[in-house]
Amino acid sequence: MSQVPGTATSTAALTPHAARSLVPTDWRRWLQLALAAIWVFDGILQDQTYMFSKDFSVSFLAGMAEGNPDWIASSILWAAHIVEGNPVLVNAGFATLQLGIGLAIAFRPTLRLGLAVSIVWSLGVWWFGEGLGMLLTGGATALAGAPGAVLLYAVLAVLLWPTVKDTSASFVAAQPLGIPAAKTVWVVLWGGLAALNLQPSQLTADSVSSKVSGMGDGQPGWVSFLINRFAEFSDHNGVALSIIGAILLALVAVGIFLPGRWTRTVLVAAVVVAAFIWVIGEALGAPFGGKGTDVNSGPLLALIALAYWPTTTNAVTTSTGVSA
Amino acid sequence: MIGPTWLAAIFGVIMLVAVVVAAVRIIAAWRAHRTTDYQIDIHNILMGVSMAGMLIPSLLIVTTGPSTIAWLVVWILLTIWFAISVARDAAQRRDGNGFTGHHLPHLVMSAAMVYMFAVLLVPASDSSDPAISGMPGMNAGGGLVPLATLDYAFVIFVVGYTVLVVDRLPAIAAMRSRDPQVVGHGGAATTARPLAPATAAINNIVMAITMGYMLTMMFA
Repeated sequence: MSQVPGTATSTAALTPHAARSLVPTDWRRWLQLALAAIWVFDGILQDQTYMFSKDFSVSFLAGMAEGNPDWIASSILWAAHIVEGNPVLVNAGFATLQLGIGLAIAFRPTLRLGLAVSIVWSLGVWWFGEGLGMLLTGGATALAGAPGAVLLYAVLAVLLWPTVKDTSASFVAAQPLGIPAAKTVWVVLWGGLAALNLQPSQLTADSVSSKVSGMGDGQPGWVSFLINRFAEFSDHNGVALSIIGAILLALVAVGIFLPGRWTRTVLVAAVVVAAFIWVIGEALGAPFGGKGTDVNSGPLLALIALAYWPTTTNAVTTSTGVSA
Repeated sequence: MIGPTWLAAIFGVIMLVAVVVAAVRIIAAWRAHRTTDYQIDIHNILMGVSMAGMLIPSLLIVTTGPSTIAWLVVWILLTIWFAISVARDAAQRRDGNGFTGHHLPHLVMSAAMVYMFAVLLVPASDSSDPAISGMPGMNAGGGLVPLATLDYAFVIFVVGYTVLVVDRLPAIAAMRSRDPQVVGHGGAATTARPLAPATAAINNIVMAITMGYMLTMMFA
């Protein structure tokens, strides 16, 4: 018996045309759905028992104030205090909002609303929940999740905004912004990550190993194995690895200006770097243990790279992100 | 129970509502001679009952020793059933019969149910938390859940499935307005117009989100 994809409802056999009408047909829509899925997952993670405890605000949120300038630290502590006052109610709101953002992005009629709310919420969480990605502490690096995963949610929402400013754009990220602005975003992001590797705090013997040591604890065996091996390898090699990392990230940053096939090579390299960060530096977002709040920056960096992937056709997209 | 007790209870009640919806769909389709995929509606009923039983241990649906094993057997059989369905769908597609079915998500969700019941049977290493005393395998402080990477993969799948179905909702809802066709169905005339397709889709979304919640709570 035939069936509408994704439902329990049978129909007479769908024609190929009808079946195709149910499937997203352009690259941007697929990326929007990936972003939506990450938001839905975040909403579910926010439902973990720990998030409803006072410890979440006292230890987790307030901990983001550490190392930040006073004016940022005080605002973080202020927000943490509000959450501490009624952790169950406030966190239930957080979880519901994040789940709602994901579903709104996935539901075509509310796509713009979902993306708009996601930008506002992401920037708020980036400030109050991530301490501006710890960028001002002097210790932030790509391997440790810089510039803060939630900031990347906002960047993606902008890059995937369902408008077409530049109809000649050959990649998704340029459609709402235009090619020059989109490439500027890329250079600032990856170039910024390269610069973070050259901070004085990163040019020490144990700067890399200290970031990954212990990350594998409580994670699946293969993840722990990879992290521990890298921790051993990076021990006392922090300076060299930081410089190599900076060069690699800088090449990814400027590589966006290379033509055709070389651009694809650079984007593949960016995805590989994102995967490395996600597995080794972030332990897959460290979901195990009940304290993970999001997937962390690795998957977001990969999604951003895919938004710059050259498309074979210049499909004009409608406001819902679906090929017209 | 897994996660905050009150939240698990909310999800449990939602599951029971979803079970009622699936049951009503079967009865309505049968009485009105409308088409529905009975195997998936039945699948949703069993999944809803199973998950409600896990979320609300006091219902005693799945949490007594023999019943847990019985449910595990049920889900192993259903997984095999949907594996055959997926293989059959693929064969029909190869024969050029257009779109013939979409049972892969239900296969994976059945496998996830097998996984959850198997974990239930793992002795708890720390069941001192009264909130989780009803679920031996799903305890806080008991270390990493068995086959944690598989658990993570299931979560990623059901979350992805959720957004795909939500994305298709407008197109699915539009199918209601299509002209009905009358087809032979076991000797009786059956209207091929689908029975409340959007309702079926929403039921699947609710099931997937709840399953994602349960699998994620097992991370702790």
